Amino acid sequence: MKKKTSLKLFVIVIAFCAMLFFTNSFGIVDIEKTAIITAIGLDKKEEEYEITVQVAVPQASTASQENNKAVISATGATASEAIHQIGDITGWYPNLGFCNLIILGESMFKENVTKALDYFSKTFKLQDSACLAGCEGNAKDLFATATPLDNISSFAVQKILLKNPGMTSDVATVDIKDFAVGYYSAAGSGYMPYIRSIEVAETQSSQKAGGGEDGAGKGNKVFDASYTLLFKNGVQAETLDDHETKTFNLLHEKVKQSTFIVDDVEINGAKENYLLNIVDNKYKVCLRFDGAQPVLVMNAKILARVDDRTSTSKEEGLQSPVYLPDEAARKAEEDFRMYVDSILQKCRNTQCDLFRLDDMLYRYHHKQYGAYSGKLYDMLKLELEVGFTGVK
Amino acid sequence: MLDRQYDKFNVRNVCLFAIAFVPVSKIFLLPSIMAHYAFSDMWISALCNVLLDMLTLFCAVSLWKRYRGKDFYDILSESLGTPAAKIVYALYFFYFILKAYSPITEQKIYVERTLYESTTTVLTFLPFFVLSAYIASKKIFVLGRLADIMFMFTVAGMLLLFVLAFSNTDFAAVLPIGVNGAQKIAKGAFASFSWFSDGIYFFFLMGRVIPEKKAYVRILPCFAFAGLLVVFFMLMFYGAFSVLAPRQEFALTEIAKYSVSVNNIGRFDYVAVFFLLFTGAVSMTLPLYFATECFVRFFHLKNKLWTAVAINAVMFAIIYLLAPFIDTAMRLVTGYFGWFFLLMGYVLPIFTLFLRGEKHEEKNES
Repeated sequence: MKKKTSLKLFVIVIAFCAMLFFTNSFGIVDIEKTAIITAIGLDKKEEEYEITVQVAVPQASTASQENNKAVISATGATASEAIHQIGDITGWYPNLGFCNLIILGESMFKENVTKALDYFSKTFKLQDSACLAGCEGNAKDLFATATPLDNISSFAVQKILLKNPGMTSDVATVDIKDFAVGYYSAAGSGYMPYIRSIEVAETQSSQKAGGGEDGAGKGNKVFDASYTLLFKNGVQAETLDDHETKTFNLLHEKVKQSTFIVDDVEINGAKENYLLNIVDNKYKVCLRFDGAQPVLVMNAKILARVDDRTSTSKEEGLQSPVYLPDEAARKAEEDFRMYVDSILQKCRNTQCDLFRLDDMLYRYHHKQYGAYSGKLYDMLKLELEVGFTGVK
Repeated sequence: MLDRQYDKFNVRNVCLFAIAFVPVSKIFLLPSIMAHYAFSDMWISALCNVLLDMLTLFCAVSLWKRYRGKDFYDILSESLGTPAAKIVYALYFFYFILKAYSPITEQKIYVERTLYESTTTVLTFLPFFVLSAYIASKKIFVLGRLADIMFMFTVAGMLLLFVLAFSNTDFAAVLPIGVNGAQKIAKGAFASFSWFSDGIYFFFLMGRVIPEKKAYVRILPCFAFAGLLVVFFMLMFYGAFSVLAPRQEFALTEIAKYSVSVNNIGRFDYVAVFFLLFTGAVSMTLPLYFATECFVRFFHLKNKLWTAVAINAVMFAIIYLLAPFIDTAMRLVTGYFGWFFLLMGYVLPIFTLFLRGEKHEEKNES
């Protein structure tokens, strides 16, 4: 009898909880009142932050395609205030859970960007695995750009930043968390891709993109993110060009199916241009001390094949692309050294610790940390070993 | 008679109990709290606590073997007298209530902040207390059955998180080892006593665990495995977040999301997260389960149901009344209350090594 009473009691309590759950969903916001933000742009407008969001508004499937996107801006003294402002002026609840991209306009680079970015790396509303990038001009204008790549411009940018795994070496992709780690670490430095709009002949693509209902849009602009912005203590300090960006990527991540341009290779007295396809790479960057002399050791072993060449020699034309001519390999190594020197020079000039040498100093040579911290780029000796090889 | 016959735990249940429920309660807020005190050496603090837990478990298993599977209350009554046994059980009752506070609070915050988008009500987390009261009203073999099923979810969830997070973990971030000094490592360990000291559960299970040969060889390694999962999680957490670790509040959902595959496919790491939330919900009920056990034993009550309901109702009230003062409450739990957790979780169990079972029984026999 007692058992039956207790069972009844539990059934009633569970039914009560279920009723609460299914009647008001514990306050979950209705989908109709939710603005799914797919990307955020940040600009500085006088003393305030101007936030521009690209919104995917949930609509019935019969609604027109143009209704599926909206670009809305709001200003606030802080980034968070501006986001709330968007909710206030639209009546939507801004859902940042699907936001995978944050773009900073050029006006943000003049001062410490983490003033605004810190909110995004701390809040639970947005995933801090979202990509971070800077852009030419205003972020607001970038979102308004019509592109043939996608109906929603931020999706087009994301396609460039987030290619398939192992195919991102043309772009120095970074997420909010990694940028924040760089900023708060001993190195105090970071980087992010620089997005530039490039005008092309106007197209009207009929191509269906990525399984979307009608992914392709109209417009005459595409995006390039092969340049990289360097930051020291949150302030933009330098820019790496596309060659330097690729070189940097080859020294800090696994790269596959990328390319390396080698121009003016002298073979039999004639100058030829090569495009190498990078099949695989091995890299090592470490810090060593020879007495009081810090030595930066960089090793890069790159397995490549010839993707294309300008040679008219019949002998070479008949050769398999898996063999890399010695001349091309040596010229690639020479170029690689040049790009590394150029990157290090930029780091030296700006004190931007792109290779996180201060972190290495702290972790592996802790006793020398006090004496060498912040001075490594001025004092170090480079020991670079680079090898481009074809299939042997 | 039938009830007694089925209200048993065996050694396999104890092993799976450790694997299923020990790691999951330590992967919500705890990693950030430990990082706050011990920084890159947080994993050493966790390792110290796991070793202390092993010592507590060793004391419990040793007592269980010496007294041939007797109940802890009976052992205390026989060795020290009934008043002493009642005092110890009363102290453990308060210990379990205090021990329950931080894991349940962090689970509540987790559910309210991350799984719900906007305003949550007081009722959002109420179903947890219904579940907790229901489990606490059940006999102990229910925990064994739950462990039999749930250990798979814990192991699968942890492994999936580790695999996804591995490529984005910079293990060198914890170097140089011990750089923060013994004091900070000790502080990290001290602050987390509330979440650890799980070896103590075995004292309250021992009366129901059937003595088996070579139980040591099975129980201690399983507990060590569960502890190492926690230490490895701490290592990966600091490796993933480095200097940001102290402010990264919910480690559980955080560490795997930077994987390239998660970025491309979507948040399928939530499969692992929900596995761990599933086992986590039961793991959080354990302190209240054992608090109910202490209460029932103290007053020699026959029916656990209303005690379980009352204790869970009190806990519900405590958590909601303290909600505006959560920062102060957590500072107390990780601060002054640490001494109480140290005493009850680690010091008292060591004293049980001095209880002599056989001599006592021999005397009784003579």
